[in-house]
Amino acid sequence: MSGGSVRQALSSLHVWGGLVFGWLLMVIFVAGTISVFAGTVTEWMTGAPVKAERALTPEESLRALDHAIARMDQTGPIAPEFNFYLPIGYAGWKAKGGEWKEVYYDLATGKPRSDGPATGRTTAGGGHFVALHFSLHAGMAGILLVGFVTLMMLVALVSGVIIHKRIFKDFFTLRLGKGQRSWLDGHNVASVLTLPFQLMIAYTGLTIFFTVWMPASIWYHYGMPGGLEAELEGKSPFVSASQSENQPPGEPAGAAVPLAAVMPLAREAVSQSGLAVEQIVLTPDAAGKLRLWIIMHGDHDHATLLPAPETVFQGVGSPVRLRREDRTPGTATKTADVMYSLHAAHFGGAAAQWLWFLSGIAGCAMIATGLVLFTVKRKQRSGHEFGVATSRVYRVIEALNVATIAGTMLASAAYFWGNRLLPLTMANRANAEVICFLLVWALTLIHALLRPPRRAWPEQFGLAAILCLGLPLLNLATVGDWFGAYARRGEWGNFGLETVAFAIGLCFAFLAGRTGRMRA
Amino acid sequence: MAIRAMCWCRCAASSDRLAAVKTGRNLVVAATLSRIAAAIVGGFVATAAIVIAIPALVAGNKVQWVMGASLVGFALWTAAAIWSFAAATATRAWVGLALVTVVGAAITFVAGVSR
Repeated sequence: MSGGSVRQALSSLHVWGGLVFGWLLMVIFVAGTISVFAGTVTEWMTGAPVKAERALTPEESLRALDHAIARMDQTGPIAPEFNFYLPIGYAGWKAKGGEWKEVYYDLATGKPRSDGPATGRTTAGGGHFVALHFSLHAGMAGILLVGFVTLMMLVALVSGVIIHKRIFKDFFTLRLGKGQRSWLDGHNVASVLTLPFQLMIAYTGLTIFFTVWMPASIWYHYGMPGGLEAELEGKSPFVSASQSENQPPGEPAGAAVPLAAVMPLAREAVSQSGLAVEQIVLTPDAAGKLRLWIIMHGDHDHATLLPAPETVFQGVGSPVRLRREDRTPGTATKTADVMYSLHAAHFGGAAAQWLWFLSGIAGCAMIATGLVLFTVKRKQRSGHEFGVATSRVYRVIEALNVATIAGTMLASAAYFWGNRLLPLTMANRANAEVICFLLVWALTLIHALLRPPRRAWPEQFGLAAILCLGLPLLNLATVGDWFGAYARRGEWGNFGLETVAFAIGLCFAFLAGRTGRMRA
Repeated sequence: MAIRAMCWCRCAASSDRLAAVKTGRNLVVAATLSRIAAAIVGGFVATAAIVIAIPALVAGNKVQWVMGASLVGFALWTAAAIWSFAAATATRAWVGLALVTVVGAAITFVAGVSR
C-alpha cells in the first residue's frame, strides 16, 4: 500500500471514528472542562461558603479526635467499628443495633452540627459534572463506555496527526469567512495548538481507571474474583497485593480494641511522625479481622506532581500497640500517581487550573468544529454513503451535532438554574438537579430532530446565552447575591464562576447570531 | 425492433455494471467492518497478550510490572487500532495482530514452564 492510500484509509478512520465517538466525547469534554473547577461550582451552588477543608495542626487533630470519641453515644469499654475523618469533623460508627451512625461536629467546641459538612442548599454541585465526565451517570456501563470513547479519541488524535500534511504551516493558518475551508482551519488550529494537552489528557484519563479499562494483566496474574466492580472499589487481590507490597500486612488489632487505647495510640503516632492525624479507622479486613488504621496528614504544597507521602500507622496485636507502615510507592505506582495529578490539575494551583480549563475549551472547539466540518463538507457535495437513506442519515447526524454541542451547553446552564429554582425543602434535591440536566438535554435532542438545523442551532445557543447571561440576575432574585457582592466580600471563586458564565453567555449569543445567518 | 434490441442490450450492460459496483461496494463494506473488528477486538486481544507477557518474565513480586504494563497497554491498543487501518488489506491487519498475540502467549507460556 502506498503512502497516499494509507493516508486515505486513516483519513476515513479519522472522519468516521471522529464522528461516531465525537458526540459522546463532546459531552465528556464539556463536563471535564467544568470539572476543573468542580469545587467552585459546589461552593456557588450551596449558596454559602463551603467549610474549607483545612489541614489541622497535630494538636488540633488530637483535640478533634477527642471530640469524635466523645460524640459516639456508645460508651462501653470496647470500641465499636468507627471511621473518623478529622479535618471536616466527621465521626461515623457502628451503633449497638448494627446500623451506621454519623455526626458532624464543630472542631473547636465539639458540639454536633445539624447542617452536615456544608451549610446552604442541598446540591449535587460540581460532583455532577465529575460523574458525568467519567461515567455519564450510567455506573459501570458508563465508565466502560467513557474508557472506550477515550481510547477512540487517542486513535483519532494519532490518525489526525498522520493524515495532516502541513502540521507546522497550519499552526499559522486561519482563513475566516471562507465556509468549509474556515471550519477545517478552525479544526486544525484548535487541535494543533493544544495537541500535547489533548494527547496528555486522553492518556492520563485512561490510566486513572487502568484496573477497569486494561484488566487483562491483573486478571491473569492476580485473578479478578469480584469482577470489575471490585477493582474499581479497590477490594481485589491485586489491590491488596499492591498495598502490602513493601511489608506484610501484619497481625490484626486483636478481637476487641479498648476505646481507651485509641487516644494514646494516636498521641504516639503524632509524636513519632510529627504530623497531624487525618483519619482513624477501625474496620474488619477481607478476612474479617479487625484492623485499626491511623492515617497521618502529609505535607503537600501543591507545587509537585507527586502526591503527599502517605504516613500510615496500624494498631496491631492484643494489647494493641503501634506499628509504622512502610509505604514507599514503586515506580509504576508513582507514574500512575503523576498521571492522575496531571489529569486532574492537582498541581501548580490556580494557574494550572486555568490553563487546563482553557485547554479544555480548546478541546471542545476541536471536537465541535470536527463534527460541524463533517456536515458542512457533505452539504457541498454528498458522499452518498448510505444509498437512498443518505439525506435522512445526514439529517440525524446534524441533529446529534446540535444536541451534543449546543444541547450540552444548554443543559449545563439549565442545571445551574435548577439549583436556584428547585424548592429548598424538596426530597432528593441533588438528584432532581441532575434530572433537570438530563431532561433538558433530552429535550434539546428532540428539538434538534424536529426543527430544521438552521433554526435549531440559533435557538439552542440563544436560550443557552439567555440562561448564562441571566445567571447573576437569577442569583440576585433567589439568594440575594451577584458577582458584584461576591467581589466586595472577596469571594473570588463565586465571582469567577458568574463572570465566566457571563462571558460564555456572550460567546453563545455571538454563536446564536452567526448560526442564525447560516445558509441552509 | 433493432432499436429496441439495442436498448435492451444497453440496459442489460448498465445493470451488469450496477451489479458489479454493488458487489464491489459490499466487498469494501465487509473489509471495513473487518478492519473495525480488528482494531477493537483484535487490538484488545493482542494488547492483552503483551501486557500479560511482560510481568510473566519477572519472578517474585509482580505488582509494579502488572501496573506498568497495563499503563503502557493503552499505547499498544492505540497502535494496534491504527495498524488495523494502515495495513494494506484487512487480512494482513488480522495476521499482524495474530502474530503479536502468539508471540505474547508464547512468552507467557515459556516463562510459566521454565519457572
